[in-house]
Amino acid sequence: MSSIHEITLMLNGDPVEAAVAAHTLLVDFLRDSHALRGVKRSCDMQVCGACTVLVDGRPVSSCTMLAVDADGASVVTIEGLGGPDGLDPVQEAFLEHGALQCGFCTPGFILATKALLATNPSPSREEIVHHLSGNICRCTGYQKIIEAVESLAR
Amino acid sequence: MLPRPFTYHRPTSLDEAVTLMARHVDDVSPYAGGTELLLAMKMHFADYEHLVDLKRISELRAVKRNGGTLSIGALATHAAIAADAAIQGSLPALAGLCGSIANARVRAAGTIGGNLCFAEPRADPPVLLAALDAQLCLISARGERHVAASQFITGALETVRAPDEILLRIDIPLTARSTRYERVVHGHRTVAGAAAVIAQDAHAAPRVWLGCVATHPVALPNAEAHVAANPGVLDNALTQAIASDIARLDIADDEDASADYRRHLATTVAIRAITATVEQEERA
Repeated sequence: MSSIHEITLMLNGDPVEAAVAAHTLLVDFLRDSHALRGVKRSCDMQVCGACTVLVDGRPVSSCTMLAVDADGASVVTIEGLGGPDGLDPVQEAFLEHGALQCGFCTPGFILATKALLATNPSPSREEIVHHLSGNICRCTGYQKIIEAVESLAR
Repeated sequence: MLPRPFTYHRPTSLDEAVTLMARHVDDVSPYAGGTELLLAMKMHFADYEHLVDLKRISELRAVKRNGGTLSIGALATHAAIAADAAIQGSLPALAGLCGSIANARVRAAGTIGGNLCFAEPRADPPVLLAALDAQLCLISARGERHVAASQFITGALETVRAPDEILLRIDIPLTARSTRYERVVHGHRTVAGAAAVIAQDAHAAPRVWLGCVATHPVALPNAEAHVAANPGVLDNALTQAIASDIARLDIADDEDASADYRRHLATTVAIRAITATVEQEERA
């Protein structure tokens, strides 16, 4: 039996309280308990970036983080970007540049980009490539993704 | 896969953490960034009845410079080390390495202490920390003790850490004049990494360490002796000295490289690291 823990967090801007078993992974908590299916489970070993979410602004692999670790944190998934007034600027840039093909990797790439721009609003092309090198696009549409992010650099 | 069920503890003080580790010593692991431990537990390659989460003990994250020593808390993340102005200024080789480990997500969560304690054979930081002659401070209910980073890892996933010990911090003497870590990465894993360190004190021996090749980091004594006797000289004899060190290592074929190819890469990164320190010396 795992220990059970009461956690409170901000999930896409809304307060959430839940009881989670210690061994619950954040990816399962988000997908199964909160129906946030923009969080993709793929490699399950922190290599592909499809399950990327922001925890207190930092990009993390939700496949390899415990839900209990999110206690007290602010968690943002792709569903938390944009709003009634339209898409987030990063989403707009990906659309404008056609920076997606099948779309499976796109939430992870967009959230990784959010994290990059939060700490470095004017990344060089080299910095963009370095930062996004941990996100994999199996359609191999990297060129347009990099161009989309470059268009956001101030 | 899911990790097997376990009991999670989240102490907020070091005293509390030490007590928990002692109480559950038979089946406990300290838990930090989880980037390696959780992977191993998901694969059911490692199982613990108790995890003691150290992340809410803020003093374990501190980075301080005390005179000639740089002190890095075991819970400092790779990203925090890469972005730390004091480390960038005093040890740019370490800041640069931590800024290029794995990917941005692993760097945001993974810690330098966890990296050392997990002792994954392909981990880069233990190689550089051994070459820098870092000292590790461990604590348990029995008190504190210090272990040289060069003595800490004894095999694949094996260290001298006792089951109830917590790694507190890494103390790095700032005695190097030139430091370089060079590596070759295939996919997302380092296939060979070498660190070369030339001390400010001309009488202190140069240090050349190799990692990600055998089961754990090792010194290259013939290379060190050659550099000591022939400072600044990059010749065939140096290559032969490195090759003779590497010939003595037990290197296995794996999915990333054959043993022969890995020996070749090991020689190459060792030459590159030493060459870079020679260039730094010439500029100094």
